Amino acid sequence: MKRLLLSLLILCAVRITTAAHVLDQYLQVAQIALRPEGVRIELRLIPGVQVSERICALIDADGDGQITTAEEQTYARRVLQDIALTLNGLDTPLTLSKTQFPAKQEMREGLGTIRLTFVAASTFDAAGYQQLHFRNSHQPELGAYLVNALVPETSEIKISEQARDPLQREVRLSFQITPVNTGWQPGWKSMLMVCLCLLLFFSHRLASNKAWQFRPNRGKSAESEATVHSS
Amino acid sequence: MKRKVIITGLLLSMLFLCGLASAGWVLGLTATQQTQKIPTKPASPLSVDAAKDSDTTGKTVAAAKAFLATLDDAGRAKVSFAFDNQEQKAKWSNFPTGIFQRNGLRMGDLKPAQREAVFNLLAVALSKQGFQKVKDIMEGDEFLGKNGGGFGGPPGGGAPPGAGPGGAPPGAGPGGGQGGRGPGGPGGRRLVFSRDEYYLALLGAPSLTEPWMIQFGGHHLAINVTIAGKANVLTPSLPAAQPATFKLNGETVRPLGDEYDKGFALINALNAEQQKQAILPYQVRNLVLGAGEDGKTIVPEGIKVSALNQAQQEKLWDVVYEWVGTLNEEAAAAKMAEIKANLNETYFAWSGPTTKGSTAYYRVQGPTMLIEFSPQGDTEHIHTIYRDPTNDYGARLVVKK
Repeated sequence: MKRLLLSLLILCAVRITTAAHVLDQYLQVAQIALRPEGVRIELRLIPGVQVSERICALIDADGDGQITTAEEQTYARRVLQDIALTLNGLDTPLTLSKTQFPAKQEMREGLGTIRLTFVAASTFDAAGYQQLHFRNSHQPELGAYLVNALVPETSEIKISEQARDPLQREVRLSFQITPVNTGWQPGWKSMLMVCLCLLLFFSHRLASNKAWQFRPNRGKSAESEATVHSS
Repeated sequence: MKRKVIITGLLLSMLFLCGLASAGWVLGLTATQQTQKIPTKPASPLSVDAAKDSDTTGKTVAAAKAFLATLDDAGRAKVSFAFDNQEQKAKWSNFPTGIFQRNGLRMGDLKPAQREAVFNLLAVALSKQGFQKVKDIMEGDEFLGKNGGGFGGPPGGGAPPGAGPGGAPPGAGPGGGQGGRGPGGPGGRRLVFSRDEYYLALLGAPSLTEPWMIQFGGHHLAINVTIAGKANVLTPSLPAAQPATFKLNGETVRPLGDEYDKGFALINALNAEQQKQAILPYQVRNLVLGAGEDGKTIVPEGIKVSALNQAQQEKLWDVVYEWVGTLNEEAAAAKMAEIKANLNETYFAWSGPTTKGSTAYYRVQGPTMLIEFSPQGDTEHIHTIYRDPTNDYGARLVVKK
């Protein structure tokens, strides 16, 4: 009897686990990479089996049972509308860079992962302390969220703090840009351009001057020579 | 006169350019190049000695060769992969067959002597506790198969609970039969839960000098042991469990029981101020860097291990050893020394209640180690991961010639 009761208890535990598994949620994992060339956000969307039909229906906009590439792109753009990025308080537009969808059958079975990559081509021009805020508002009634910053691949960017809401739908990253690579860049690049223009201009003038001197030896027509001489 | 002005202008521009180059350009550009050359996570090659027949690698090589000798040509071809087959290296998962198809030889397809040889290989490559953990996880899957699986779904799924042919009673030895199939998803995909549904693959030829790899896994288990000379590496690996508690031969088995107990012992050994630093003010519902997330490093959070006292640190190392110590003692000792040397850059983070019996996530992260412990909704279904962002699959190891 005791053994039977124990078996039942264990069986119940397994069943409870089944029910409590994140099969009834839409897991959304965001990873944020800060790079000198901008921000890259990778979003993995994993619909649990109990909500997968709803997500498939969202993607299959015309309801014909097939998910086309166009419908995938439309859904990806919908997700894009539901996420928001600000850099130092300024809205920063994200663009869809890459999409990867599993087969519909896999998704229906709660086995598929949608991978979307977004980029914001905002270079970090200013040195010093900066802040990024990311928010994911996609399917909040079904969503279970994770958001993490990846360790930057360059030592020029150092993330000092991640502050999230309790559900991990949003995160505020505080980070530091080292001055050596940023403060100078825009300034000296512009100056360099100005100098190059000046150099080109003077070179051109010098060349024109020389051309004037050597032109009689280049076998030009008498008419054009006359024109040059007269000028 | 005109010509003089032009030439002077030209010279002035060049001088100005030179000035700029010596100041901003040099500063800016060289800094960029330097940061590209020196990444944040240096992964310089790690030179290791060739192994001898008498050390652990030597014994593992002998065990692997003994296993290969039990196979015919077809079997050897099926189990063997090139060491540089990156796709195969990354082909592991927490998912069961039916969702994720592994390569290599399936335990259920092997003869008893061959299965015995596989277990002997694992017993040599792993520690006693590590090998026991592997067997417990496999038995847990057998139990799960016999009790309906963990992926309940609407009608239209696979065979009913326990419908697998030849299901052995709990406690039967490895390979004693097929546990069963889960109900499957709506599309009818059959999910197989059984101690037979584990696969072995060998990448590279067993060698004392050349790198090779043992890959063993199935539902809730991924063991990746890379061997290069004397060095043995166990990352990435994924021990998980469902159910986390079950009965086998009248004994209670908890494959990840120590990981759970020691985690709670650690968080409760911290004082209020330390807990405030360690406990993340948000929920963590899953592994952050689980299967398929190779090559990433997240920004560490929680309390620095250097802020813990000696006794607390000992508890933390005890937690860490639950994963590191799955590998053979010789390699585990070397890895623990490396991890402890990075104490000042190692963090411990916790999410969830601190009362034992409740469901909580925790993470230990250092420069050469990431461990995550993540219950999947409750305490009876647990996923964990163990990684080394600098040396997964032994990427840094180079054997001295």
